[in-house]
Amino acid sequence: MLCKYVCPCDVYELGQERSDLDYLMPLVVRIENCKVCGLCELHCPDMALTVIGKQKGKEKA
Amino acid sequence: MNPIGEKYLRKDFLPFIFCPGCGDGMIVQALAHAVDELGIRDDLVLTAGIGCSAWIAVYTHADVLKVLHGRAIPAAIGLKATKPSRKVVTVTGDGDCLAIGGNHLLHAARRNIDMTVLMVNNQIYAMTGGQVAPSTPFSAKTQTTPYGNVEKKLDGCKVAIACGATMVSRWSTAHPKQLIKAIKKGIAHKGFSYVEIVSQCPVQTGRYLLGSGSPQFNLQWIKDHCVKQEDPSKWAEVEAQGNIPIGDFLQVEQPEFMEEVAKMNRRVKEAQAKGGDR
Amino acid sequence: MKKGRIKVMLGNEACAEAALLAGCRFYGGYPITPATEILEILSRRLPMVDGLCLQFEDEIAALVAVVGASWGGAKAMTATSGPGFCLMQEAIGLAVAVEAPCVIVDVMRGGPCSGQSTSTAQGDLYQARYGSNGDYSLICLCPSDAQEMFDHTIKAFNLAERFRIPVIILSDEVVGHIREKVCIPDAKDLKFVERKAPTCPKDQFVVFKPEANDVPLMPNFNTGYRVPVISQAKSLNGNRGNAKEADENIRRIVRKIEDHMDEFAEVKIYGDEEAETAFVTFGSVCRAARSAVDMAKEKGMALRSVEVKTVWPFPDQLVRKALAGARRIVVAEMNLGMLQREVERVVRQPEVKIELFSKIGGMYPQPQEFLRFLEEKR
Repeated sequence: MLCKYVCPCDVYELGQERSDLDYLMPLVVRIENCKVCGLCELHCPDMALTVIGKQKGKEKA
Repeated sequence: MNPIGEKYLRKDFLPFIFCPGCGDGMIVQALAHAVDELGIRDDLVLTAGIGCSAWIAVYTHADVLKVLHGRAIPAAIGLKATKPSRKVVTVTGDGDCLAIGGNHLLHAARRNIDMTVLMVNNQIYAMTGGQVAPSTPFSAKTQTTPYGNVEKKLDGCKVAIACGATMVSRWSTAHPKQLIKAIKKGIAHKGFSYVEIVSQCPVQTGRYLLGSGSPQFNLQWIKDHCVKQEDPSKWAEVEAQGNIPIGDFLQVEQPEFMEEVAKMNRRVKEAQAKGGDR
Repeated sequence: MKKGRIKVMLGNEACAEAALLAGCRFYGGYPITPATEILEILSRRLPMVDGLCLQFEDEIAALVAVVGASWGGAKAMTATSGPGFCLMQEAIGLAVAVEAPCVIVDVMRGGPCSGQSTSTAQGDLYQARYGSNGDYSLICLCPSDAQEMFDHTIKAFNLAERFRIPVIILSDEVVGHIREKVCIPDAKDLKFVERKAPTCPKDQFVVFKPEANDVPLMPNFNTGYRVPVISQAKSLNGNRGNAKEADENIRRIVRKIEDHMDEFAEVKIYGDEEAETAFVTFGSVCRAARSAVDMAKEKGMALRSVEVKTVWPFPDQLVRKALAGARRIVVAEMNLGMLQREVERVVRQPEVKIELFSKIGGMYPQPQEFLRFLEEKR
């Protein structure tokens, strides 16, 4: 859960849903705090998420 | 999946074999960004040896030659020699590069061959279960040093500099932006580039050496213990504190091997045309 | 009578010149007696044709670089002797696994280990076939004179490209260092084989999917195919595979050669094809056997000499046919009995005596010794 760890704005929490590989996935809970710094995207070892500019959205693989 | 992954990952080989939180996945992304920003995808070839880090090359959707343990650098030389315009990037690990492959690192650096070595340093032999590596710190307890490592560790950057590498940097997975810049710099540099990447291995290094298998802990450890110090004369202070100096240490221009070969071939052919053979 | 230029050459020189003619443009090597001349000659000749001859830090680097150069699109070669050949074994397995065409010359010398660097021997026969780990196959040619050093080198490059394998030229110190007449044909009279590249759309190409002849197409790197070529490949797409895929892959890389032996297997017979006593030899020993046959003929004794030119995969049928009707078979070799075991395996007739004339220690067997052997061991 490196995204949660590196996020300086506390956007993420551990979610309840599991990925295809059976790991618990992070959840975006405080999107209003996101400053679009991109650290979560750069630090994900699985390239599972992306930060979509001003829309402050999140996709997962 | 994020867009850089869409563009550069070899999809039919997914999912990654990397453990959760492994730094290797982050390096795949960093390499992809560097290649994308340089726009050199069509000229790129990757070589790799054996170990977790070798798979970084395989997951990148480019022409890849993954050979024997420690021999990624000679394979790269064969590829560079057959088409000097290729951008050759060798992905190797601390065991692959400094132990079994040490001799090849020495001579490729000495020759100043235009290639880039990305040495992923997780301070252990991870793929085989956590045995001691040349980069493992003194007194560390690994699977083959159960009573503590009695060997001093080797610094790959110092080896590269001593052997004649003309671009040497060390960054880490905790510094992804600087890492991407360093990889770009290495590929663009005309000569032998050595970019060491301190990377977290939560499962082996984390559990055996650092006391925790948590990816967050391991990444934080790297952040805390990698200290920017680009003046080699001050490295001893950093190391005395148990830290690893990182930064862009060296970049010089020296005669590059393939260019020297081309010059020699031209000279030989001109002499032949005149009737001699020198 | 062969057509071409006649030149007196060292056996090693003939090999180097043939390599250049065949299109070799990358040589990675390391100095070792008695193969060093090949490296030295190519270090002078390759720059003249825009090739690269590089002396590496060790034989392992040399052969791995040759494999890299092969996937880089070049015809590539290395040469060594026994101790270097030992070092190269893992890399031979690599060339097999990634199906990289390349040529490896082993100019055998006295062994084991560092042995006798300036003396001749034939102790690497099994190593040439079984030196690397696991199951695999490859082709091994055995020249017996400078002319064959030339001819077999051309053949080796062609077979390497045809089958996408490492081809071993198993020479020895006598053949490497002898200086004799070689007829060099015009390039237009020679046939050269090139590997087949794919023409399908880049995203449809499957790297280890074989053609009908069990050999996959080989793209050049940096032509858009972006292929994964890994030493652990077992799946068609180049990844590691499951047990079934591994089984299929290993059998295919053996089958691709051994089901097509009629394309390259060669056994020669010298002397009386019906003689009851036959020698079987390979490499330089063929020469002494021929002289022994001639000497015996002068004394009114009929002998035949069976010369194995392509020793691996062992040409069972050709050897059996060449030895048909022989009652006494003498395998003559400069080792403690390696070719002999293959001949025993192939000729399973209890009434036929298969003997071993073994000459080790570094001295080449004289023709008189062959006849003395026949006499004493009757």
